[in-house]
Amino acid sequence: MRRRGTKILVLVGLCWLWLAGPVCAQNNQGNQGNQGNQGNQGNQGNRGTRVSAPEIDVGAAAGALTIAAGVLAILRERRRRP
Amino acid sequence: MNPTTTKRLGILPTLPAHALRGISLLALLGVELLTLTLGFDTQRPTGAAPRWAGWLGYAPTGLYIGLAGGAAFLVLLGPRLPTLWQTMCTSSRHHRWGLWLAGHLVACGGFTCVTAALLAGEPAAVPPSLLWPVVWMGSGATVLLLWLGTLATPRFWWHLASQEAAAVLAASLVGVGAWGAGQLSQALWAPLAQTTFWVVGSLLRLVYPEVHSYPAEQVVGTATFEVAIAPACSGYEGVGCVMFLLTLYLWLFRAHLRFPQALMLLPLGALASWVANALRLTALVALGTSVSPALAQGGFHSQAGWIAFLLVGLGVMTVTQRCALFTVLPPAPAIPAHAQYATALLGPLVVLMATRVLTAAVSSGGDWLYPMRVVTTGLALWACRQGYRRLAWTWSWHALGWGIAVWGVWLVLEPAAPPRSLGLAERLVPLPPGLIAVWIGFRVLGSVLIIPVAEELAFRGYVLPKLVATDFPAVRPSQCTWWACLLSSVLFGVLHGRWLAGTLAGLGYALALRQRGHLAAAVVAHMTTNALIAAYVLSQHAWSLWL
Repeated sequence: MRRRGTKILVLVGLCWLWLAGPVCAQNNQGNQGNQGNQGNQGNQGNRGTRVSAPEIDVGAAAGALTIAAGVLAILRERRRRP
Repeated sequence: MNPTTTKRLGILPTLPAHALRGISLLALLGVELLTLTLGFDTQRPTGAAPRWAGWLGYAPTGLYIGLAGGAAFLVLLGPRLPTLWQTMCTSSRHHRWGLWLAGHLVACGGFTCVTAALLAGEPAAVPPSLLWPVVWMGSGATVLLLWLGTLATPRFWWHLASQEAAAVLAASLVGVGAWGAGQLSQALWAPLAQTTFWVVGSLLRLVYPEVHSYPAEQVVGTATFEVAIAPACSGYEGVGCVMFLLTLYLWLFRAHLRFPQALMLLPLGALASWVANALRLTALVALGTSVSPALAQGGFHSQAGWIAFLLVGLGVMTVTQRCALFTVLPPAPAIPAHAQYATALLGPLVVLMATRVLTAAVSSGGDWLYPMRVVTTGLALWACRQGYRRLAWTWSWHALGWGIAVWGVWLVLEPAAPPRSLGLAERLVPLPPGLIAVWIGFRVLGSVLIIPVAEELAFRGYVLPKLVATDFPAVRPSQCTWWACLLSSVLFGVLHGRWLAGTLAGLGYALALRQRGHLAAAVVAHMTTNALIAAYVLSQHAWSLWL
């Protein structure tokens, strides 16, 4: 258990590091005065609707990461010898 | 209390004193670091301050390299960590750590005072002597050394440094390399954004005769819908996420993959992710122009990046599992029994999450496609029903009690927003009144019957025993340890986006499982909690609890 727990903790730590990048990038964008970063900037006169499009929405991470982790676990179980 | 006693009494073993001390010291160091980094700004203008005051601006770089190097050191030691931990515990049995802790706290206070003298006042008031930065760095190093001395004896650290000199050197190089890679990627942000901008513009011209393009602002689109491609939207985030997932995949499946061919997956995945991001941006403009600006700005805007990540990452993994170029042997056609069981436990939750991501992507507001989750997850449970025959499906008053207790904790920690500030039709389901009743029926059915089963099968049926032993089907509920219960509950809390309430709820269900000895107890407890929450929501119009 201890060895397995250590592995899991290291993986959880790496996940945090993984999420830290996008979080910092989005925070930096916010700090740099990129108005309307998370959504609509409204109607820009005759230029229609303009949005900024962050690639990764950290708020929606849980679902995607659960899918990725679940598929990885299933694939790994298929390869594991009983 | 020894392990035999805890086993006989059927209670969870307590945490060892060394582990408690280690966790407390880590928390203390974290609080100290947060206090110092949030309290003082090393990047402020130096103005009339002495020239060396500008050097303090490099302190965050040192901290970043130190943290990255520390993480790399732990990963490099990986398999030896349990042995090293045992050695540390043994050698520190008679360690008088109280004195070291007192010294650390005093040194930390001194370091804070010196930092305040250098960074808290006006730049002109900074003492000019070169001795100050030397004292600052010396006191900082003393704080760290005394913290290490609190954790274990100096003799242990000396032996560790001697034995693991190569790992220390490699971790230092990794730390510096990580910082260098960060600097390089920042320098490449602008060129990558320009390339993405050009590709999106070219793709749009294939579909729309009139494409608006403002290179100076990195804005591209049509007359009615435009997208600003900031550097962060240029593909780096997706590339980083896919690279991480594929690195994890290469590590976990290293015994089954052909090397060095398998390393090609990293650049291939990065390229595929960048292309997927360009397609995502093109689709965003097309959706906003031709279908619905609200839809483009709503769910698609939020979910498309993750969908692209999943398609690329999982697509590469699935293809390489069967490709002779990358895999040593394809998986056996006959799926082993334990893998079938794992699929039955995890599959419904994966289906539930996939439906949630996909339906959110095509929702411009509200959760009106919730019934889809109930249908797909229900179908997944039905498809996997053979795998659940080994589980004893029964119920007990104890499980009901655990469910009620969790409901109480949940309401205390996650109080509902004032009812009048939130209308069901406004926030949750912008549907006609007649359909709202149908929607509520599915919402109750899902949260009371379907979702608890899918979540308990995954978290208490798979994750919890898997944290105890590789051969998870053989783990009895009574063998589940504190660490496994806590860690699986934290993951459960993360999934729900409610850290504390979710973690405590997960712990409650884990204890129900452990007390009754079968998974059905956790399922019944979870169902009870969700049924009470549903009753509370409907009777009190506390719709925010369903958000």
